[in-house]
Amino acid sequence: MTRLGSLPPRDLERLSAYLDGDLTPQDAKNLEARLGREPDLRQALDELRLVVSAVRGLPEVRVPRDFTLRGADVTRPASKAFPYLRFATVLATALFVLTTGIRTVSSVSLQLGAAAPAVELSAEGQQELFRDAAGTSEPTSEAAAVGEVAAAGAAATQTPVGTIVAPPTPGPAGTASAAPAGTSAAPSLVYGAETGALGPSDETAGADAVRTARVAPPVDPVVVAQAVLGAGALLLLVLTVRSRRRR
Amino acid sequence: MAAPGVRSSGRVVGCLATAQAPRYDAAMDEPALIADARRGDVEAFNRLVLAHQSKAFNLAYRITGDGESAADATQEAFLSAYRNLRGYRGGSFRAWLLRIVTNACYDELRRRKRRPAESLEAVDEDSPSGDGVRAEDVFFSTNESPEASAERAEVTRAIERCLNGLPDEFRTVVVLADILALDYAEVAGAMGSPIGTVRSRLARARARLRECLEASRELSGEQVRLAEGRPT
Repeated sequence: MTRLGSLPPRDLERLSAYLDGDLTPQDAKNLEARLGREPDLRQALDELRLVVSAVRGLPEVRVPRDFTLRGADVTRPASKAFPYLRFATVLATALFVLTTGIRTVSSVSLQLGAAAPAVELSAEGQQELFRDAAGTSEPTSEAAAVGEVAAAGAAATQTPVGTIVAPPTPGPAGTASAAPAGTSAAPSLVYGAETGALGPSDETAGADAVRTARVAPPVDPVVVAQAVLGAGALLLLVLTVRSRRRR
Repeated sequence: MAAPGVRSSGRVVGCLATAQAPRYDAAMDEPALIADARRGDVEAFNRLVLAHQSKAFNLAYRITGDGESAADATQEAFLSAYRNLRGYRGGSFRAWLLRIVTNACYDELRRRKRRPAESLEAVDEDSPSGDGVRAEDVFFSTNESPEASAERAEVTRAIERCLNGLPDEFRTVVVLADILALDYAEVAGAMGSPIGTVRSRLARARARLRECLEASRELSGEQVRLAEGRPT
């Protein structure tokens, strides 16, 4: 058993720190005083000094090579998520392009099937309708004619073959259906058909026409999906680039 | 403050000193290089690497006990240091760097524990001093007699064996304080521990080393030489 092994931990720490010159002057002085009167403590210090000398005598090991960095070394490797993000980005972009393409093609084909002048007339008829609804209870024959054409145009917009679904009826029902034709065809046709069937009075029909004209167009779910896909693709693109960014 | 002078006994082995000394750039402006490196200047960082790679590798070698693992850990540590330079908040850059090296070595040791076949004991059989060079090949100065060289090699192997037998934290503190000659504050910075913990661990580690060396009876020759005041 060495002296060190039987030494109290506090004394061991003091001796070790003393060897390293890490004691305060006062603590060092106190320890030196003890060393002068305690042979075991002095023996323990000698043992500790031998160990420290032996360890400090170990050779410095040769560096096998330079550890300097090259440009390629400092390039941060792509994140593990990079392939997944890249796939998701491509998928979202493809879906966005696909839906946009389909929507564009269908829109063009519908426009080709519709009568362009009717749409223009429907706008004029709309203005005429507003005047009628606000001023007179009896629609003029001119307005009725415009309404008929607009209704026909709207119907044609819904059915590319040009079939007039709702028969043009003279009077307020016809004008009511014409009102929203320039903005949204489908609801106006349904509304016009209903009002025509019920046979409302002129005043009621005029008010309905104004209300119908002010109804906000419904949100097209395809457009919403497109917007979500577009935003998602953009976000994924940013994440993908960040996942493989260099320092 | 008492300064018994043991620290000044740090010996530089002849052939190693000539191999390593020229790489350190004493005139370098470390804060300026760090600032440049933070802005992405790899060359500035490489000057820091050249200044510190010897201590970094020696620390890694003494912790892992294996030249190849030490080289990998050192390279990984420098790369990590470059990428995380913004995490350096001032103080001793060397201590900050050596802490990264220490952590890289601990990672390596953990990996090794998951693969028990490559234990420190197995590595210690050959006791390579880096790059496949055995300790006795690099330890001695050229004017030492063959007998003295053989004796010193035995002592070196015994010390390395005892050092490798210490718990990781004890081995690290001994390497930092005694082999790399860092002061307590730098050791604390390199280990991420309070100075009190460093002082306590170092004392206990030295006591354990003494027990180990005594048990292997390898210290006796060194003891005689030291008692006679012969140069080591």
